[in-house]
Order: sequence, then structure tokens, then C-alpha cells
Amino acid sequence: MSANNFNTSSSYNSSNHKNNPRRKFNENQQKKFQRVRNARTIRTEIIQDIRQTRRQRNNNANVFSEDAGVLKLPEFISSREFEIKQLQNAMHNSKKSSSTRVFQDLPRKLRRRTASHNVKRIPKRLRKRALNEMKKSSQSITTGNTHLLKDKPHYTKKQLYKLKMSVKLLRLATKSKHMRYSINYETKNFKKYQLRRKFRDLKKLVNMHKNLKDGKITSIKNSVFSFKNAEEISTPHANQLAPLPLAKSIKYMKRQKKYAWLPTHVWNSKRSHMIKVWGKNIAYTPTQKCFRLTHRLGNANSCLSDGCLMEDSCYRGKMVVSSNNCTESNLPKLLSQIIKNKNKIVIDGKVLGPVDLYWIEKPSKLLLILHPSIYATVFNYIASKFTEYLCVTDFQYNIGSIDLFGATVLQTLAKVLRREFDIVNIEHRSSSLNDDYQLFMQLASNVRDINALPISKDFNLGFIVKDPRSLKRPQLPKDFNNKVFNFDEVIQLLENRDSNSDVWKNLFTMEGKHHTDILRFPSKSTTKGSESTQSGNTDNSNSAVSIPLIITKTTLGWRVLLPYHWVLPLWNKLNKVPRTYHIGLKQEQQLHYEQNKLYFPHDWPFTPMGYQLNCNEAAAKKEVWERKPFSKKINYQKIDSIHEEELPYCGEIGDWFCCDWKLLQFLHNGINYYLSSNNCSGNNNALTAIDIPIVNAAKTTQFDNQNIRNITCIVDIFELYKETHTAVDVPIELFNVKNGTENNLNLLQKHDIVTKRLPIIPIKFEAIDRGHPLDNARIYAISRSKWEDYWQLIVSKSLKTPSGKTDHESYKEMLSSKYLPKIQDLVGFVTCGTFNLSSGKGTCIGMVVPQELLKYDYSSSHYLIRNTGTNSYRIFKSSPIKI
Amino acid sequence: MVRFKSRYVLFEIIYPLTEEVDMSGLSSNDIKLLFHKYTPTEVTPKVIMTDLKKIIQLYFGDVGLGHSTSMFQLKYFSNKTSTGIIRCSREDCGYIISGLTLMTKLGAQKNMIVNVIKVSGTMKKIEEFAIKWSKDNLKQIINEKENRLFEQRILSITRKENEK
Repeated sequence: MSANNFNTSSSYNSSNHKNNPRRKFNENQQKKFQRVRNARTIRTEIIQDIRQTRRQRNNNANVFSEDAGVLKLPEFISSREFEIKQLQNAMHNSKKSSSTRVFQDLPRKLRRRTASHNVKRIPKRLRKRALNEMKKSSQSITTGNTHLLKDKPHYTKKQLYKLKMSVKLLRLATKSKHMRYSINYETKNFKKYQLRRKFRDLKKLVNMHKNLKDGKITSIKNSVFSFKNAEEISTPHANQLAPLPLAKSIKYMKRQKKYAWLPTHVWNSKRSHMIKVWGKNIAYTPTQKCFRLTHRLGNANSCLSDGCLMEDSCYRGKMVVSSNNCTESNLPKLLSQIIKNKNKIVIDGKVLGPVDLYWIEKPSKLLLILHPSIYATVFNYIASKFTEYLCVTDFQYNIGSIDLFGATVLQTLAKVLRREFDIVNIEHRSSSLNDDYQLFMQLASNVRDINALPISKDFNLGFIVKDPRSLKRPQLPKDFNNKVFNFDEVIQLLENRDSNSDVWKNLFTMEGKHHTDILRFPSKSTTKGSESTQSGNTDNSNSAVSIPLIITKTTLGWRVLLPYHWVLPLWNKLNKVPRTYHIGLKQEQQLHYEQNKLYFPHDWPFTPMGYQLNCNEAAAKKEVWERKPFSKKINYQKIDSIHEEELPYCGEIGDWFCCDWKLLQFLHNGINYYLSSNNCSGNNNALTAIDIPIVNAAKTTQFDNQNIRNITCIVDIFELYKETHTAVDVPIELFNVKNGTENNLNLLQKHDIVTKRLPIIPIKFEAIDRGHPLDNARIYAISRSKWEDYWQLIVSKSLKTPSGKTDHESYKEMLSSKYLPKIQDLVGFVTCGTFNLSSGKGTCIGMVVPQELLKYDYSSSHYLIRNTGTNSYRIFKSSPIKI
Repeated sequence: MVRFKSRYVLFEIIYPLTEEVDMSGLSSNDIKLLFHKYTPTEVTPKVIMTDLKKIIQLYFGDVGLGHSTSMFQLKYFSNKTSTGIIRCSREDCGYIISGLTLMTKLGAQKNMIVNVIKVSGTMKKIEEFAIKWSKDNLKQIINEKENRLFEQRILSITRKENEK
């Protein structure tokens, strides 16, 4: 569209913008007003020209259409398009124009405190502009070195000597480290040696290798950068857990003694809150707010989002189980003893946690990826139980992984991963290697939604890539979008293929080649190499570096497996791609929650780890609560109308800081015991849970011979709970056919109330009307009669006014206490709940006692949920979760 | 802090048919196009303002006029798409909206209806809505194949804007 096709509407706007004549503005201010005014005008298309051209083009045009200005389709479209563009421009310009300083336009994550006078706080590309702006406004400029001007602290002579010595020592150590050498004795005991001996040895080492010609690397075995012994780490031990990796730097060795640092630790610790758990130092949550961002980018429904999330998942333990006898492998059969349903570990009938399985070599070699909290237990169990038949190898510090979520994951990877041609010989190129990379590129250019791909767990793409550091800037390959893509064909191909065994074998080799590769080619030499070549993105000097890499699918996203030390270079490069964000454990949980998946260990309370976490979190919450002043904390003990009419004490039931599984166990086992002991005495009208008296006013508490309370009413159960509850053992277990029938048939003894585990099932809940469930909320079943009398009306929305709005007043009138649940109706707790952005209402995940085991007639699909410390019940629709 | 709050009104001008037209042979697109025309160039923003003021004075008197013109401003008007945005004060936007709906002529242009589409509190949101509304309009008119191409074109514009 030519330039004279639009005019601006500023002429008529300016009359309304007349400044107050009494107030005078300086030149700068006037300029700014002008700029803002110009930016706010929206261009409009001139109509005359087009009419003329139309007249010229078509002299015999329809008279009606010309004079009355009736539109023709293409013109209508073009004019609308023009309008859209201009409106967008106007929005953009008016946002830009109001800022006077360059850092005002920066995205949130690039903003820094004191950026207004300290140029170093502004990204490099904008510093020149920032300086100009500062000069214009004659502002003082600092460069952030004020601390150098302050008085130096005074040290005693002893302190000074120590400091001097440590500097000297560090200098020597760094020198030797850069030469890829370290002291000859074990670095672990380095501290024990005398200072002079340390100096002597280090100096000797440095001098010795200075004399070597051009610092050629002869040995890398004892480098500090590798582990205490490169050989040791490069050959993973069979049937033995790997020791914690030693620090890369002597300075930070002590911090990594108990909790291992992941490869991206230093990167993450600057940008996330870290948490020390399960022997690892893991990113918990980014320091930036990211709840909405995580939802928008990582949610499965958001396949149209324009970014991806990533997490360093090296903390997940990786072990390889292989069969000793290669010809007749009994690996699947043996492992089926502890792995049930192909996704969870069950040892001695107790569920431990989830597991991801990948075949390295069918059917004799299997990769298990486990949560670090259960890793050691499972490893030791396999190592001890199946020693004769199986060999289990710890790869947790040999194989690293990155988890990615979101729509542009494959595209982002395609920007960073390049295949290494030089090292692949022609034979390989024509075979499966070639195919996997091609397939990956095909998928990357077309697939945004992970759910579009087949569900099969075996889905994986393996290929060999070159050093990611050799890429100057991550960008898509040139021929990326040219490929013809047939989705059905690709899907068929994916379903009917074997995984690339070459790459798998290469990655899970027992030799440590991949670990030493990175030592041979440290970052400086690599980048130098690529910069020297002009083409940058295609060539590099270290053609010998080859990284086997596998892309697999997890339940929510993608997982990239690669050698441990190559995680950081890849991670750094991935972070250079626009719209990629890092996340931590908390966001992983959020993603699970939003897609109604159970997150280990929070949503697995029937496992020892999950139960322990529940107890620990309760203790932490309690501590925080106790520190608060009285006016600022909820007094849980005095909240009335929670089972007030039934129980003799008021306040919240059970421990209000956690899901009190112990209470649930006591309550349901107690009810069962009461019913079984009373019903079997020849009574024809079988009692139900509701018939049990709450309080036995006629009798005082009675004890049996062993001095245990007799259960004659509900309050007795509560008293028993108060006396005996101690969080030692897991009081619940996952419901299955076996324990379900057991529970129904067997008559309980009194001590079973305390010891027998209560079967539960995971359920997801969705609010029907209002409701904002929180963690630890109490779940109640609705008895059939109450359901029919009241709650059904609410669900069917027959209580709504004709305009569709809910008449809450009439609700309240109708809702008398007779429709509220009783204490016996408590069936479970919410493990994870909040307002769900992806479904637009309150949803939660909880565990309840299955309907089959309840001793009363309950509505099957709806439950009431009450948050702790409140007395309002909300109705929720339920549906089971597969586990 | 007290500040003057304003409202933005998005409107379009529709031209109803004066004579009976046989619609049987026409597609839905044609019918839609029949009602949308260019606004003649004689109708400048000034004309719209004065005509609207006249209408308000006629129906609401001097008080109504005084009230409604306190923050009265035409932010945007395109003769080609016959859409515009008016700014007015929050309390008195009722006068403006009813004034717009009561309009029957603009300068020499008779036989027209002003359709008020949306009222919003900020310029940004009204612009966003105008974009969405134009897109929806276009989507109805363009057939599917073209629609896809168009989507790509529009999307590419949006993306570029975002990247800037």
C-alpha cells in the first residue's frame, strides 16, 4: 500500500489536546507530548484514491455499486486487514512512546534494581542508548563499584596470613586445574595435608607440566574437574551405588559433601530457590513469579502456546538392569515381581512409587528411571535379591536428562541439535541413525501437541549429535520447513519400528568416553573454533566430539537423555532460545495437577515417601503457624459448627496441617470393628455406619483386660486416636481387589483398628458450582437420602432462578444441618487442590475410601469437600484416576 | 487518588436497504456486504461530532449536552470500514450511546444506522476488541481455504508485533 493512501487523524485530535496556556512546558516535555500524541493516533485509509483507481480500472462498472459505495469482497477484506494492522500498530506505539528510558521496555525478567543510574544493570545491547539518555537528563552515572570505595575491613595479622595463603593456594589449584591436572593424592583428603606440603606439591605439578611442549594433555585421570578418579566414574559399578561425584572446584567441595550438585546447579542457583532433598540439590521454584506462565506454556491443552518449559531432571536416578544370561533372558519375568502395571514399584506388597521403563536391548537390558527418594531402596533391593540372575548398574551420575514441556519443545531442540556427519560412517548413515534424525526433524517441523503422538511408552528417537557449544546461535536448520509431512505415515512408522539400539548402546556404555570428551574440549577452545570459521553454524573444529542423545516421551512432556556432563552445554544453549523458561519441582507438581495426574511423592500418600512428606510438611506448617501472633492465625480449635452437634468438642477434626490418614484409619477401622462385633450377635437388622451412637451418655468409658478402650460409640474411636496415634507406619494402602475383599470378609479384632491398613483410591474432583478446594481439605461422602432430598437439586441446578443465577439465600434457608454430612461420612482428604486455570473452576486430587468398603448407602459420583478451618461444604463431582 | 475515568465506545455505521431487493439469489456474504458501505468522504470526524452534539441537544437538552461533552472526543474514524471509537466520561456515556443510536443522518448522508458494538474502560481493550471483531467479521465472509491463508497472514502480523 503506497504511502499516500492514509492520512492521520491527528488534525482533529489536537484541538482537544490544547495545553493549559498558563502552564509552560520545556522543550523536552513538549517533544514528549508530541511523541505521545503522534503515537496515539491511528492511521485510516483514504477512500478516494481507491475509488478513482476502480473507476480507471473499470469504466463500465455497475453504477449502483460505485455511487453508493457498496463494497466488493476483496476491498472489504483489504480494508479490514488494513484496519487490524493499524490498530495493532497503535497499541504497540502508544506503549512504547510513553517510556522515556530504555529499560522501561524490558521484559520483567531482564529488569534490575538500580538500572536507572547503573548502566551495568542494563543488557549490553541497550547500554549505549541508556548512557545517552542519562547524559541528556544530566543524571549521575554509577557503574556499581561503590563497594571498592568503602573502607577496607581490618584484619589481624593471623587473618591476613590465612587469607593470603588461601589466595595463593587457590591460584595454584586453578592453574593446575586449567592444565587438567590435580594433586596426586586424593582430593578428598586434601585438607588434611600441611599447607607447605600443599604448596610444594602443587608447584611441583605445575612446573612439571609447564615444561611439556604446548601443554599437551597426557593424562586426564586425576583431574579435579572429573571425579576423584576418572576411570572409576567412567566405569559404573555393578550392584553398587555410585559415590557422590566430587566437586568441580576445590572451593565449593564442602557444600557438595551431602547433597550432590546437578550439572546445572550454578546456573540454577542464580535463578531459582534451591532445595536440599534426597541427597541432591534441586531447583525448587524460579525466583520469578511463574504460575500463569507455567500454565500457559506447559499445559497440554495449550498446544498453540509459543514457548516451552524445561527442568534439569538429572536428579532422577537412572539404573540399568541387565540379565547375566544373554541368551535366555528372564529379566521381564524377574522384574515383574517388583514392577506392577509397568509403571509402579511394589516391594513386599507395598507400593513404593512410580517408575519409567525403557528398553535398551530387548529383552536383556532395561533402563529404570526412578525418583531419588526411592532410588537407593530399589537399587539395593534388586542388587541383593536378584544377584544370581541380574546385574544392576548405577548410572545416576553418568547419564543426565532434561525434561521439557510445552508446544515448541521439538522445535526448540531442533534449533540446538545438529547431527555430526564426520563421525558417522557411510554404513551408519544409510541405516537407522539417519532415519531417527530425519524423523525428529519431521516431527519438530509439524508436531506441537504431544498428545498427537502414539501413547506407547517405547516411543523414542536416538541419534548422535555434535557439541552444542559449536553452534554460535541456536536457529532452525535451513531446510527445516521444506519437508513434506504425512502425519499418518509418520505415526505408522513410529508404531512399527524398533528403537535405535546403536545409540542406546553407545549412551549406556560401560566405558567413560563421554565423560572425558568434555574434558578434552573445554568451552573456550570450542567457541574459538567456531568463531574462527565464518559459517559458524555449520562448522566446528572439534569434529571428534559426538554425543549420543535420546528423546523420549514422559507422561506430560519430553525427556532428553544424554551423558551427564553434556547436560550443561545443552542446557546453556537451550536457554538461548527465545521463549524457553526454566522451572523447578513446584512447577512440575503444578503441571501434574492441572492435568489431573498424580505427582510423586505429594499425591502418593500410601507410599512411605509420600506419607513421610505429608508428616514433614505438617510439622513445617505448624511451626510457621505457631510463630504467628494470635490475631493473625486461625484458631482451629475454636471453629464452631464443624460436627458441633455430634461431637462433644468443637474445632477442626484431626491434625489440621495435614491429611490425617491416621484419623481416617481409626475411624473406618473402628466403625468396621463396631459393626462386625455388634452385627454378628444374631441381630437381624444389620446396623450401618450411621446407626452408631456418637456419644454414649449412659455409660462412662470402659476398658478391657489389656487396658484398651472398649469401642461403644464414635467418641470412643476419637479418644483412642488421641491416645495412640503416632506417625510411625503408613496407615493406608492402595486399594486393589485383594485387600478389598479381605476388608469386607474378615472380622476385625480390636488391635486391627490400630494396625490394619485402610485401602484408598485416588480420585479427581471438579467443583460443580462454587468452591475453591485447598490442600488437606476434608472429603465427605453424601448419603443416599440426603442426596435425593437436597444435593441432587443443587447438582441439577433446579434451585436456580429463571435468569440462571444461583439464589444463594434460598440455598442457605433450605440447607439445614440435617443435609450436612456426619462425622462418619468422612472418607478422605485432598492431597492437592486449588483453582484450576485450565478448567476454569476449583479442582482437586484426593484419596478416598472406595465405595465398596463403606458401610452405608452413599451417592457414588458426588462428594462434599470442606477446607480445613472452615465450616462450609461444597459439592464436587468425582471421577477416578488410573494409577 | 482521584482521576477522571473515561469510557470508549466502538461503533459502526450500517446502511440499510432503501428499496426491496430480491435476496433469494444472494449468498450470505453478499447480504452482509449489502449493509456495509464506505462512508462518503464528506462525512469527516467533525461532521460526526457536530451531528452527534445536535442529536444530544435535541433529545437531552442543554444539560445533557453539557454533561456529555465534558470529555467528548472522537479517537478514530475510518471512512473505509465505517467504524469509529469515541471517548467520553464514564458517568455520561449513556448520553453518548443513546445519542449514537438515535442518529438518523450524518451530514448529507441519510438512511443510516449507528450500531454501538462495545463500551470499554481503556483504549487498549477497545482496540483489542476491534481487532477481534474485525477478524470475526472476516472469518464469516472468507471461505475456509482462504480463511486459512488469511489466518496465517494475520497471525504473522501479530507475531511480528509481539517480537518488536
